[in-house]
Amino acid sequence: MTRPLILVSSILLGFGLVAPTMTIYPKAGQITWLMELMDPESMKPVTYSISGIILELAQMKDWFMVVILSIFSVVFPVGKLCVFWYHSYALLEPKSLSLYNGAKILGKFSMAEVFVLSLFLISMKSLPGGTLVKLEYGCGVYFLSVMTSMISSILINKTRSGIVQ
Amino acid sequence: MSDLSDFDAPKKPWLTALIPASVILLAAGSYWAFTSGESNGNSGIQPGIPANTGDRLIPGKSYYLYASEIELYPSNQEGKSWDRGEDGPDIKYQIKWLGNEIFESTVKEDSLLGNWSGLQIDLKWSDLLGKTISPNEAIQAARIRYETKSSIEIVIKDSDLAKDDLAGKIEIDLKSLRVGKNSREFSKDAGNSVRSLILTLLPIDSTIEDLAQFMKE
Repeated sequence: MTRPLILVSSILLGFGLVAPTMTIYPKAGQITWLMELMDPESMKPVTYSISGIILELAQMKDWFMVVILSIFSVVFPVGKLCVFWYHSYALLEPKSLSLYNGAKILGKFSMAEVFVLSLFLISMKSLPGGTLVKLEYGCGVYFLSVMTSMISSILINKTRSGIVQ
Repeated sequence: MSDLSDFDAPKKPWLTALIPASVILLAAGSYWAFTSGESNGNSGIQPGIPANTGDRLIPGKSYYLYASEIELYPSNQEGKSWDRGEDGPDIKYQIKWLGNEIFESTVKEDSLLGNWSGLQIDLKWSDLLGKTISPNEAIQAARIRYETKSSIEIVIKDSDLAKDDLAGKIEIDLKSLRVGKNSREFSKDAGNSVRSLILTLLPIDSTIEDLAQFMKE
């Protein structure tokens, strides 16, 4: 059950990283029509995925944000699943156990992207002019990946407890 | 639940740690490949260009009309320089339709080549406190209705403080115009100092995106 669940989590994470996460509908209050007239391109709704945001930040050369988002949104979740998979084969190995414990700690940090995303959404929603932010299905897929990885972790813990007893 | 054991462990379990990473890459790659094909398929239409550019005008239909470019000869109708000193002319134009002046442009100062975009908003500092602007105010163009036998007159002047100097009066048969840009060239004579004129015509019922895109060019 655990390994298929890790695989499901991996598939969901793969989709979640490239699927649309949110769409921004730019508005400019009473002069929305004017902005649409003068600069229609900038007033078109824009859809972002997590990987898309990282690539766009890289194009803007905002390397600090690229590193932060890449670590918390990509490296930690992927690394966590890899460690879970490895640990599922070597439950009692000390090296595997320390890696697993490390991944569990780092896994908590990988939830930080949800927090960052929430903050981002709140800040966008409070923008003047009625700019709207709509969450897309990619956000749900990503969230499901986080949930399944957490369940995998619980299952691994239970199994190890059973073996040790 | 406890399907995990060390009995079925591979000899080098750390190598298997790459399996989730490979699955993630595969899922992301297949999703990207699947959806990028979809987005490429929709790019057949060039956005922002009215579909009917180049079409004949339809009788009874209303159009925006403005001069997007006017070029004057280096000297006025009398063969003299436009302004005192070496200053170029301050170009403006009026559009007359059915004997009535229906539009007057802004002045392009000290230039032999004047360009007008068709979109313009004059904001004052006081407007920043909360002025509402309607699309009609922003579109700087004459509104005409096409009738097969009607014509328009473009009066081009060098704007001066005392008295405007006439650069040329050009009468254009509406029948000869098409939707989009219409270019005309003129020779210099005693009654004309206008070298060329580009008139732009757009249907009033065009989408706001089409109007904006076309008028910006």
